[in-house]
Amino acid sequence: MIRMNELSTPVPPAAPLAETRLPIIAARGLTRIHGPGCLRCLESTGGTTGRNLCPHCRSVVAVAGVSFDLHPGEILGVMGESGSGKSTLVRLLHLDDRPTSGTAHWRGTDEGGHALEVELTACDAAQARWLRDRRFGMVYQNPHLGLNFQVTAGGNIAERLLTAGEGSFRAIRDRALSLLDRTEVPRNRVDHKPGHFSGGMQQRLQIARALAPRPQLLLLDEVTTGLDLSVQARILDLILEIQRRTRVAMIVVTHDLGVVRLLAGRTLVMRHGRVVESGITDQILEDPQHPYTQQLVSSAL
Amino acid sequence: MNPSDPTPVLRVEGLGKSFTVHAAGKHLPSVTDLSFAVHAGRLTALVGPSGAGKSSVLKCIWRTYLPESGRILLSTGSGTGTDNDAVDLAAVDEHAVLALRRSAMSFVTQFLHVLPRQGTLAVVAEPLLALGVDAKAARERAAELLRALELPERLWDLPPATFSGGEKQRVNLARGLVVRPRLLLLDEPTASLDAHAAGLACAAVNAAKAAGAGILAIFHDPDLVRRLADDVVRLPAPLQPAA
Ligand SMILES: Nc1ncnc2c1ncn2[C@@H]1O[C@H](COP(=O)(O)OP(=O)(O)O)[C@@H](O)[C@H]1O
Ligand SMILES: [Mg+2]
Ligand SMILES: [Zn+2]
Repeated sequence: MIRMNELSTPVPPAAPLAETRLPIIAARGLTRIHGPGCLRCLESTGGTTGRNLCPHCRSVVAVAGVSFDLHPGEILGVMGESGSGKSTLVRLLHLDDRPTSGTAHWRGTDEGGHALEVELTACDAAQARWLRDRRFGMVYQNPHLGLNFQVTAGGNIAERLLTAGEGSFRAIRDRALSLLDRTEVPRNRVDHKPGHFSGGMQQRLQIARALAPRPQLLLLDEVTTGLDLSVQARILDLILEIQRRTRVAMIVVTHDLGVVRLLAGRTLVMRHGRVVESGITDQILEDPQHPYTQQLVSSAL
Repeated sequence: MNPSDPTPVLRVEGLGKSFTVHAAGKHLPSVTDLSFAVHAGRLTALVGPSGAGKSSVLKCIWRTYLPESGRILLSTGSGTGTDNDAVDLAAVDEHAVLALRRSAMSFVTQFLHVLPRQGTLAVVAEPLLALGVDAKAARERAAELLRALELPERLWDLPPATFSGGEKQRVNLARGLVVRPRLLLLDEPTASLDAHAAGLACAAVNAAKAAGAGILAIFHDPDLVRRLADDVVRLPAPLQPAA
């Protein structure tokens, strides 16, 4: 007889309804225009104009008016075709680039674990370096941007731990080996340079390097693009496992609907630098509202 | 309806949903002015001809579809018996919906979107882990459900991707029941099961009901409606033939 109602496993209390947790990133109106810019840049691009190049001043409106909240522990997908502004957006958050206008507020902790807030669009170079070295992690589509090909796999992780202020050789070695284990890079490859690795292993090493200082925000830009499906699956598995274990907030940039379906709870859809639609990922995929999203989803089926 | 239970788990009031397909210039009505309730410890069956919008109703409640009009009031279980005690799923923000999906409701469909390499026991235990239940307790609860549904133990470490339709469906049902949701949404949960497995699935659904869940279900087989439903909501034939 089945008596499942008598099972003894405790049921946890329901999560509080009003999510009172504050966002780790609050972006408002982020805009990045390459070129001189003019008063008509915004009205002459995006929407139904079908372009991101201003015909009046030849500036490129890479990102325009992007607002979103990223909550702790959340994976936010950013989906769009090539040139839609996805990489520019994460580069702004990673402080690799500065916006023309708009704000991005970061909430995290300082070295002592105390609450710390930084307006990313206004921070100085030293603060930016501290955030990149110790609070943010970035994984690029191109492994040459995220790895040092002159040093070994272990050296890549050690470099990042050193810049994050870790001084003990032993601690660095132990952490490097545990990161390699976690990202499934065999320990016997620790003294090999990344140039000798497969594409999938290079991406896993990039993830290990990005995670080394235990960042509070992980940005992933097309990290599975161009890899075989089985290699992609392994990386996607790994990303979710990391999220489950560390609860690090992530922004996952991709042009692949399958990637957001598997990874992201919520998704922004970008076109010509604008967010045309945002929502819970399965709603974006099964009940897209915007004509552009409908076209993206139906052409992917 | 059950008048002796004034605070249903779910109250749907005047739900409307249609789809605008921009490329085709089409507007397709799916659900019109639908109202019903789901009560704790009872199963409400949604019945109606194909294309009547049964699955759309479930997807509106789960917020896979954006409801267009009406209210979808989910009791938060605080037991004050007033409207303040409920949250409108048609209106709350995305983070609140995602939190309620984790803690208060489950949706068992015919499809399973899970990580390709994750083993079955982990797939079933995952909703509990996401709620912070300790790993051992989560695995035990998952194992109990898989055992009750007679999924052979030798399959528990394997990813469900390669399983038969019937095996996948049992994994899906176990995953939906593992958290003991206040509201359970079932879309043809036994469609690919043989008679014996369907019987086990029905027993599992009845056990969830006995434990107090409010259940809203679509069944492919009218006999299952007769066997399992306490309340029946009939949807009219579609205004326009569905695609
Ligand atoms: N440094 C730059 N100078 C000029 N245009 C740029 C620069 N960086 C990006 N762009 C342009 O901005 C737009 C958005 O690019 P990008 O953010 O790389 O899009 P995605 O990552 O979605 O492919 C594109 O039209 C691109 O050519
Ligand atoms: Mg890019
Ligand atoms: Zn211009």
